[in-house]
Amino acid sequence: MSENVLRPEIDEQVRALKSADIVIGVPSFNNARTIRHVIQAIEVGVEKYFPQSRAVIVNSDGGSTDGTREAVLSTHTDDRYLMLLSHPLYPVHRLATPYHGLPGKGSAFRTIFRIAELLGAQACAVVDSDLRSITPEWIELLLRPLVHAGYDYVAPYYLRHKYDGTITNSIVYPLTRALYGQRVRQPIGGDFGFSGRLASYYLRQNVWDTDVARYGIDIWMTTTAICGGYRICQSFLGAKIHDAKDPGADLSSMLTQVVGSVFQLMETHEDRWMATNSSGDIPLFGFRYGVGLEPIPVNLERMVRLFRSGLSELRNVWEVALQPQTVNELVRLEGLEPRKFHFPDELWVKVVYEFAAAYHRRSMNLAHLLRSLTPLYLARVASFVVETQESLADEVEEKIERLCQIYEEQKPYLIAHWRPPTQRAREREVGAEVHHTTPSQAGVAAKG
Amino acid sequence: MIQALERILRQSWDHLGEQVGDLLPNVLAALLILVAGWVTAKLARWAVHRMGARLETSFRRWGFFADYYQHTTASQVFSRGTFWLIFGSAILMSINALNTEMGSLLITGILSYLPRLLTAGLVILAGLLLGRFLARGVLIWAVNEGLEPARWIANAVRIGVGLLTVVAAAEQLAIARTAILATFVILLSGAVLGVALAVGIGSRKRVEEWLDRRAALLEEQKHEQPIEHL
Repeated sequence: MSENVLRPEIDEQVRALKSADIVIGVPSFNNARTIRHVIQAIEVGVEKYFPQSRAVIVNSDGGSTDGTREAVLSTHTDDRYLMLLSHPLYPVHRLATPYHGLPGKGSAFRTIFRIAELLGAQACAVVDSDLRSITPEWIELLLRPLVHAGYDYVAPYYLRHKYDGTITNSIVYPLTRALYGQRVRQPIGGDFGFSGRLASYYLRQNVWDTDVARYGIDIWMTTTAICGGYRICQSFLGAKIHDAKDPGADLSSMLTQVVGSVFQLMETHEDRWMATNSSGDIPLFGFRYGVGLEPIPVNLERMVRLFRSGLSELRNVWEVALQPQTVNELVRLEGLEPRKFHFPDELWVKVVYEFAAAYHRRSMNLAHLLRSLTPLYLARVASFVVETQESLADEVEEKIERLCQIYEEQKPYLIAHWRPPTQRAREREVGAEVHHTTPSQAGVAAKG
Repeated sequence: MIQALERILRQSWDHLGEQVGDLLPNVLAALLILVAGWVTAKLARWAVHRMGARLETSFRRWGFFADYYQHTTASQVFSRGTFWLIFGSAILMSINALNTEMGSLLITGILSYLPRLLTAGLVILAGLLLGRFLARGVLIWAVNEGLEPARWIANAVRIGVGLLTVVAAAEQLAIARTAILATFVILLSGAVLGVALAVGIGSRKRVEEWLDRRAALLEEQKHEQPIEHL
C-alpha cells in the first residue's frame, strides 16, 4: 500500500467521491493566461470522447499569484468534478526554478497518482497548463490507447520546429532509445497518458525526495514505464505551442537538470540498459499531418563564441571528464567559422557517453560537471542549425535518425567507459584467461 | 714546565673525552630517532598515498582537487602532510634527545604553540579547498554566461578566499593580528578604489565598451534565440 501523500481534507474529499474512471491532472504555476483554455479543452474532450465515464480533473497548483486558481474556478465545469489542490513546494525550488518553470511538479504528480489510485481510475493523463495548442482530441489521443487497447503509457508525439527541442533531439531521445531500446520520440514531452496500475507502480517507487522527482519527473515517468515492462505507445498530438517562456531562462540549469536526471536514471537501471542491444519502434496512434511552423532566427555566432570560450577556459575541466583524444578532436573545431561550423555526430555521441561515465565515476562535483557541458551542447546546436538550414522536416528527422543509430552503434564505448578502469582490467584478464584456454580444456569446462 | 704542559693537555683531553662520552649517547639517540622518523615518515607517506585513492574520488567529486590549476591530487597532499607530521615530530624528539637547555626551551615553545599551529594549518587547508571549489564553479558559470573575463573573475574569487584564509590563520597564530587585518582591509579597499577609478577615469572608455558589448549580448539573447531547447 502506498504512503498517503494527501492532506486530510483532500483525502476526505477524494474518499467522498468514491470512484472515477478517468483522472486528468493539470499541474500549474502562474498560468492564468492559458489554464482556462486547457481546462475547457479537457472538459470538451472528456464529454465528447468519454461521455459514459466518470471523470475527475485535478488542478494541482504550486502557489500561483497571478489568479490561476480564480481562472480555473471561473471555468464552466458542467458535471465534471473539478478538484483544486495546492501542492507543497520544496524550499530548493525557490532557489532553482525547474526547467518547466513549474515548482514542485514532482509533488503535484505524486498527488495526482495518489488520487487516481484512491479512486481506482482506469486511465489517467497529465497535461501542461501553459499549452496554447491543446484541443479536445488530445484527451482522446492520450486516453483511448489506455482504455481500449490495453496500453499502460502513452507518450506524446508532437510536430515541432526543426530547431525546437534540441536537448530532446540531440541527447534525451537518442540516449533513451539507445539505452532502453524503445523509440519514444518525446520522452520529456510533458503531456502523458498512463493507466491506473502504472500510477500505483509510480507511487511505490522510492524517488519522491530525490532530484529526479523534483526536476526530472517527465523522463522518470517514461524510463520507469519502460524499465517496469509496461506496454508503451505514442499518440500524435500535432503542434505543441506553449505560452511565451521567460527569455532569460537559464539554459545551463535546464541542461543540468534534464541531463542529470537521465544520467541518474542510468545508474538506477544499469542492469537493464547494459543488457539492451538494439531498439525497436513503438506503436503510434493518431493521424499524422503537417503543420506550418514559423521560422526561428538563431544566433550562430553567439553559440560558437561560447564554445570557443569554453575551449580556452574550461579545457582543464573537460579533461577530467573526457578522454584526451576527444579533447583533441574538440580543439580541432576551434578554428571553424560559425557559418561552416560542423560538430561530427560521432564526436558528439562520444562527448555525451564520456560525460555519462564521468557522472557515474563522480569524476568531479556533479553540478560543475553537468554545467560544463553547456558550451559543448551549444556547439552541437550550432552545427545542427548549419547542417539543417535548407532541410525540410523529413530530412531533419532523417538526420536525427542517423544520430540515433550512431548512439546505438557506439553503446559498447559507453559500457567500456562506464565501468571503472580496474574492473575493465579485471574483465580483460578474465577474457585473456578464457582466450588462452585450450580447446580440450574448454570442452572439459563445457562438459563440467 | 713540559710536565705541566703535558698535564694540562691530558686534563683537557680527558675533559673533552668525558664531555664527548656524556654527549655521544644523546647525539647517537638523536640521529637514530631522526633516521627512524624519516623511514617511518616515508613508509607512512607511501601507505597514505596508496590508501588515498578512495579520498581522491570523494575530493574530486566536490571539486577540491580537480587539477585544473595544477596537478596536485588529494592523496599527494595527504601523503605529504603525513610525511611532514611524522618527520617533524621526529626532529622535535631528536632535539629533545640532545638534552640541551636551548633544545628544551625550543620544544616547550613549539609544544605550547602546536594547537594554534594545527588550527591555522586546518584553516589554510579549508580555505585552499574552498577557494578552488568556488573558483571552478564561478569559472563555469562565467563561461556559460558569456562573460569575457571569466578566468579573471574565477581568479579573483580564489584570491579573495585565499586572503580571507590568511587573515583567519593569522588570527589563530596570533601573529601581527592588527597588522595583517589592516593590510587586508587596505588591499580590499585599494582594489575597490582601483576598480572605481578605472571605471570613473582611467578605463572609462574600455569599461563603457565592455558594458555596451554585454548589453548588446543580452539583447541578442533576448530577441535572436528563442529556441525551445526541451
